[in-house]
Amino acid sequence: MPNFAKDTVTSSRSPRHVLVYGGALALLLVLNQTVTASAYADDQAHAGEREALRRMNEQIQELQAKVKELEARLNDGKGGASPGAVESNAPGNPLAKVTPPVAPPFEAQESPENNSAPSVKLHMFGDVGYEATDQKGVTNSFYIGTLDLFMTGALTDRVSVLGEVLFSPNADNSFGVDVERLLLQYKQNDYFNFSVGRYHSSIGYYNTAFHQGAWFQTTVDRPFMYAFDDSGGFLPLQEVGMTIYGQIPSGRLGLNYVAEVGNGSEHLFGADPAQNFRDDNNGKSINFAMYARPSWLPGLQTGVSVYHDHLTFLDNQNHNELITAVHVVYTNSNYEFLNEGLLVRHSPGSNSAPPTVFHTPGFYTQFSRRFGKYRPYFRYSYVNAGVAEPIYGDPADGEVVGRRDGPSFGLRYDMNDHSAVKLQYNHLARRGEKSFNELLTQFSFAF
Amino acid sequence: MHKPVLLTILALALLASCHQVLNSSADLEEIDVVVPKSNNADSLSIEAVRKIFMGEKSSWAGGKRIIVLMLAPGQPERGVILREVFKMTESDYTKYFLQAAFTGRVQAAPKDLPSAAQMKARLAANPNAIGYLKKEDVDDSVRVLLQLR
Repeated sequence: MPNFAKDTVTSSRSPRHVLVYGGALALLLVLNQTVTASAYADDQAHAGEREALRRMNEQIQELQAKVKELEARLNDGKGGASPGAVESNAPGNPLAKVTPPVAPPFEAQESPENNSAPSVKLHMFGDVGYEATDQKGVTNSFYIGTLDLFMTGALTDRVSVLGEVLFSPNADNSFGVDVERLLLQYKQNDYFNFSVGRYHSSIGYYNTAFHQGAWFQTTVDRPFMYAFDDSGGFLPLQEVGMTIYGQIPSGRLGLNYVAEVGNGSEHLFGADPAQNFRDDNNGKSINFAMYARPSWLPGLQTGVSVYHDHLTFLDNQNHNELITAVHVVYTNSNYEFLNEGLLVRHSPGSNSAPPTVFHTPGFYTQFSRRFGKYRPYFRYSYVNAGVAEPIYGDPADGEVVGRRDGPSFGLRYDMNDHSAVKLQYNHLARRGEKSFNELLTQFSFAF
Repeated sequence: MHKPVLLTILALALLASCHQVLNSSADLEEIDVVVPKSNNADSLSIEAVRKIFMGEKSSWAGGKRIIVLMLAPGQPERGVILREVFKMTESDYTKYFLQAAFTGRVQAAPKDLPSAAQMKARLAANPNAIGYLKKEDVDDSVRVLLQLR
């Protein structure tokens, strides 16, 4: 077996070898340069063609704009002549007379305060899927998630309306219509914004980052602690009231605040938790959240929120509810790392006999990494409400929260920029009940 | 005598490699973030431009609403802006603004324009607009706030 390295170093003919190998290297180098130059020349030629086409396209568009302007002026001329129309009717080349191609009144299109009829922007979100489980008494089934119609409209430059209507199936197979959000918004500047109506409360991160859009979230379902009321959720995620929010001048720290005052939640089994019609007491829920999005690390957000409400029950027993949530999340094109924790504190009101305080902790951590159109993910969720918890442990007030924990593994495949397919495995352990497994599939879309 | 030849060849190869690297850098577009001449905004940092383009900063110092203009997908200038300012892919950009509209943070994504000529026309028509142009397309009608490569 030849030893080229040794030959090169030790052979008596090494100078010749140096020349031969050197020559070969030079030849390769020249060949490489030639091929590169050739490719570069091709690229240059193509770039030149593309540039020429682009310029031609621009010229065509400019001409089209001029033609439209001429037509508009001619039409104006029929009703009442404008100075421009008079000019363009002057003898000579009409095109030459219209040479100052004044741009169309874009400001009028972009500034709603000049529009007589506000326009509506409509988006549609939805999801359907199939779920299989080994939970006793639950059948495998296709399901329709929600059909979400989301609309925004600007009434003036500062005032806008946001509406979100959900169509989702009920347990009796009928479809329910739910006004999920309805907000009148006023935007003074980046530091002060005001909205009133029904909103998603700013408890933690997840609720206001993903709302009802299954397509936005990486996973099929939400973490336990952010489950909606019709899926066994226990937090006051929807409220009717008012919100003030904006940025706090803080340089590169990127601080933001949210302050909410609402009707709070109804804690009666079968009732809609958001008190849409009337608050059942005079005490209002208050939520204050603050979070930072530092500009030195785009994608990082960390924050805290504190929510307080008075809960009133049919037996006139009052309870104070205090929910503290913290979050640290990091998201960019490839990575998603979500971490949130909360502590719910329920304490009896002044007219209650045993002054017992109950704490319910919960957290979840979720990590995902994108590989092209695929995004595998992992999540672990945990919630633990005590057995004697007066609100979360009483079936008369809703689904018993208890202790739930378990991991989820899944894979998301983005078919394009507006639709995704997800496959997820859940393992769920619950206090006093047999643990079970789920396999969920979901097709979700947004446009 | 032959060692210098070999060294010379290696040096040439090294020079050629450097030349390739420099050439590939030169191929990058140079993009200027611009406002109309009538806009008195000072030069901006890349962070400030990012906030504006992502809708986190929505008004100029005087309180006027900022109108962000983008070139349509497929234009090379847009690629530079997505990479350098948004630090996103085209898909991320679509998702970001869909989600931002859904959360109520912004009304809609920035306006897409088909050409640099249209960009200049829009900028000329609206003193509150901000956009971007290739360096060779920049003229006296606009002011450059930030240069990007």
